[in-house]
Amino acid sequence: MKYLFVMVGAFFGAMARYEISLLFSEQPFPIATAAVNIIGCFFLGFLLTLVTLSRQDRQVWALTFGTGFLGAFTTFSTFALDVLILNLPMALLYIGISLIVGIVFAGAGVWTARAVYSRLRKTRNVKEEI
Amino acid sequence: MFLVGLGGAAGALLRYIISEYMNVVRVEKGIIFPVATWIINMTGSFLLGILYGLDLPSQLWLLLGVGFCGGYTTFSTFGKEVIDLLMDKQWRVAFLYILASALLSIIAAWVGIAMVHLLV
Repeated sequence: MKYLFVMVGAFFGAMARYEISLLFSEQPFPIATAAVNIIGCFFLGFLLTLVTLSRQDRQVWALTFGTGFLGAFTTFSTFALDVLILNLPMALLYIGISLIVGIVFAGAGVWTARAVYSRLRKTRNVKEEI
Repeated sequence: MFLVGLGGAAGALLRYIISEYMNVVRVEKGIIFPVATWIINMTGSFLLGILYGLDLPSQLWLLLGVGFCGGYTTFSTFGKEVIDLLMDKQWRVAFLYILASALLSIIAAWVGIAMVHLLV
């Protein structure tokens, strides 16, 4: 059953990545792959942090949207291949943007999830007091 | 487009199975390295290099290259693992992981292309 969740998520994740890459197919710089990887980093950081914080078992969410959708939405192999196709200054720029912005966005996702979670907890506690 | 989805689903499944078997390896006491994601990204980049070198017909490229390799490898898990290492104050391991992933995946893709050009 776990495998099915991963596969369904990945089916849509990979197609979404492909659709986005078609939108930017005429650009000389692989902006689609960079954007997809950076956005995916943010949402995975966000999702996995919420799943960890949650008091309920949200493993199905992590498998479907995390391992499946976001895992297939982002890609490391295309990143590596893109670097080889670009000229040197562009390649360095691409590596730098992907790594630095990607990691910063993963951190921003974690931070956002924590902020959202603590706000939710607060409103819930206030309601309980009332 | 469905070919990409099918390839992606198969790739992600393989990634999940591999990561279930070996999630992290303890380098020293208390220091862990996300070896599963690293191996997945290296082998996937190598395979994509081979597929690119083979100059496949577009349908096969969509299924295996964009779909399978794209779904098999992952950037988001890499990013999240780096953040986990940084939040754990494992600066050296985080730096090593970033460097080993970026540099060696590019080399792996290059070796894949070069191998095809040598053999075909």
